[in-house]
Amino acid sequence: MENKEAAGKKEILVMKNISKTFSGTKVLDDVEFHAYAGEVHALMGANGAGKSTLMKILAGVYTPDEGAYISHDGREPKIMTRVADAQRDGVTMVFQELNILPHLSVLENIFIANEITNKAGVYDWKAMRKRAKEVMQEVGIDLDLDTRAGDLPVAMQQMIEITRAMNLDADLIIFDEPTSSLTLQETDQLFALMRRLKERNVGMIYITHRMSEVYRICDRITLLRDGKLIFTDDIQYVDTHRLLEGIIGSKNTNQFPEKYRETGDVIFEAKNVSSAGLYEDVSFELKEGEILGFAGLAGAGRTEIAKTIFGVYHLDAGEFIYRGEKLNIRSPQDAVKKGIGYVSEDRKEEGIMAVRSILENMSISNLNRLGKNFHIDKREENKEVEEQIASLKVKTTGKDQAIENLSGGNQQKVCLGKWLMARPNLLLLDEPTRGVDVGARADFYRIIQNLVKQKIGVIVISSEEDELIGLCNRIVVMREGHKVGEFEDTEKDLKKKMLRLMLDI
Amino acid sequence: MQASIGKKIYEKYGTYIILVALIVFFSIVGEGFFSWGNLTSLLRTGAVYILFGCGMTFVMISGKIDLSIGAIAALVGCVASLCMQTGMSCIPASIVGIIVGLVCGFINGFCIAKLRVPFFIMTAGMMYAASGLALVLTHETSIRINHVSDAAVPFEFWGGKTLALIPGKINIPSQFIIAIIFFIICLYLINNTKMGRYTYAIGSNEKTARLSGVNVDKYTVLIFTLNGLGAAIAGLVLASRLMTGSPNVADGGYNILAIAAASIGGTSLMGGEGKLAKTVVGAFVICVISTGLNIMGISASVQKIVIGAVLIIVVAVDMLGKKRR
Repeated sequence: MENKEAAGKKEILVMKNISKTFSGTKVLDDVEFHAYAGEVHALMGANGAGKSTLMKILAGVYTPDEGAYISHDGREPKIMTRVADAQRDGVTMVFQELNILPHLSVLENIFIANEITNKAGVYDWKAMRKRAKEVMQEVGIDLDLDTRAGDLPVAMQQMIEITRAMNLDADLIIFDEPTSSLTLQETDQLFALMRRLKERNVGMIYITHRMSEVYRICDRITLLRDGKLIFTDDIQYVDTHRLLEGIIGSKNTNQFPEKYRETGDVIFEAKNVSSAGLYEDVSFELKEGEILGFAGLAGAGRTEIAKTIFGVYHLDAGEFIYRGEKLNIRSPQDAVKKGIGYVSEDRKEEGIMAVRSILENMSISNLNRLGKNFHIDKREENKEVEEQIASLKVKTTGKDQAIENLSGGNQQKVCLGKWLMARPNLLLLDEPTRGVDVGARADFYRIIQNLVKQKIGVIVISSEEDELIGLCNRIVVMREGHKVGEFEDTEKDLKKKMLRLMLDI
Repeated sequence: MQASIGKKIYEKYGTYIILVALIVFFSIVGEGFFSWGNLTSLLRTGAVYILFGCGMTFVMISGKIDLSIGAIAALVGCVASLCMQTGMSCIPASIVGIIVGLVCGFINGFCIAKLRVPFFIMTAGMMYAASGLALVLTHETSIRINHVSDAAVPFEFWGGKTLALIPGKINIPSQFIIAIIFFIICLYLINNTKMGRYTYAIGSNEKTARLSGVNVDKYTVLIFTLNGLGAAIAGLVLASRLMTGSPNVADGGYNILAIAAASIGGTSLMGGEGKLAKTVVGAFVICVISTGLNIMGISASVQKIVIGAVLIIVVAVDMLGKKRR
């Protein structure tokens, strides 16, 4: 299966016999991986396929099982055990969660742990500034070196990491889902930069879930499934069909279940709501059994509206009508009491309690119901959690497993299960499938469709237009805090119309 | 595979193994360590650490620490002693003391949750204020309790009495029984109630807890109030043992000993993780070391060095186990 001819390109990385076992589970099984200079190599696969683990081994974050062979740039095979060593060796990983020190300036971040010193051992900021400008000019990055890194958007922070890598003469850069929190323009800028790096013969490995991006930027693709290598091939020989089947491992590529169309009364209504600096004069309504989508770019105000309904932000003007009454809540706990649930877009920061068990993560919003007064009815709790684990098909060793040891998709199922257990009347889902692989996404869509059959109202916020179209009955489009459009899902050329409004073109 | 089994056993039973090893060690080298008399004295010291350590474990699991418990204990002991000096009998004086402890803990929690004062600053401030108040109230002296009215005599119930299980042999100090009752209540709270779950939740990820509908502020107040209660009981016990209300209790190093007991028991300063039962084991690790070294004739200053070193080593080994997956 492996493609040996590299069209004259220099092989800069050989990884062979890579296996990795985490507490008895083999997450990588005898994987082989090659990378070439001046190429973007896509690494794809479902959540839990082992992509991130493979790359973290390369970057020195994890140590592989015995017998692994890693040779970088034709040098003697060596297993990196520290990220700093790998970086000094020319391998840099741009992580999903960026390694930026937010309180330091851009310049300080670029040279962190690699400061230039003069003869007396004192930091030579002048030399560093000069060097940084040279590096940035070479690859065409434009950053203000004195800005606090934490004040920059994610896209700019990625540029800092790339500059840092280029300063270390990196010949191999690993991107772990770099576009997941970027806007469309920012993605274009990143891709332009990647093309320039290609010309400079830098090898790049690109981990992503987004197929369209793979075809835009990548030259070669390696697909993993369940920790095993499925294939490595030139991108021109891999069509979407082959890719999708490789990822899912079955013939079923139709992700979206049939929509539920028997909507009932209006369950929720927003009347000219505003919150200073977040959104202005937005109105919409939601019926029982309906899925209402919210489309827009990052910062359009969608998350903020959802969080206002949930009691995190407060309303400056307008009102929410919920089940026929004015909604008056001051905190999330009020919202939970009224039967409203919210699944955050930021799973790590706001969705999970990493070190705690699946059981505790799921029952946390349900303890008022599970038991009397302050005492918890553990038998009932166990029963309900186990039911959710089974019906959501959470892949786990058991309800007492720490949630941090699950893959992203399974963590998300637990986050959703928490609210399913609470039997809400209104559920707000903010990017419900972010970082969830294609195979598991179908599960989420099926779960959400089944949910509305119980006559609850669901709001879905998503940055993927296809997802909204495939899932929702109606879609509201937002731009810069304003509602700019609303469509039935049956609208012709819906995606094009949505994008036009979102991007204002 | 072998190594990982060893690691698992250490993670689960490490603290117990250390305790048993220490007991065996001191029984061999320290003459008179393994005796009924010494057992009673161990339980007596252990009880105080348990009272301080249980509340502190709640606070630490919720991701914070409390530096004020020693000072609260001193204040409570002094207030109760002063009450008895004015002729109040034991029970109302003890109740006043406990209320003082609860109020101090409540103020800690309230300022941390509602006024957003960082917990370190808040509890350090409370430490100063409470110990200062104790000094002011007592005019910087100790208040002898047995010199006051007769009604105060049953105050010994807190820490002066023993229950003879086998007369002349096994004597259980009353303070140990009190500590165990407090421990069992705390154990119930942490394992079987909303408060316990929310304590772990707040420590593990406060934002998630909030967005899951947990009243984070209310439970933060409750956690610190519980810690105030533990400190108050410990204060009464300490006052009762010497029948003296002394402001010097604040300087007894109990804050750090409580944190040490919980840490040796595996409770993380990062929050979200910890087991209350192991805090009790940690408490006994500390008092076995100090009484053991005492029996060997080693000075209190050297004991401090040993306890400090043990604390660091145990936590370092814990962290090493967690570092690489």
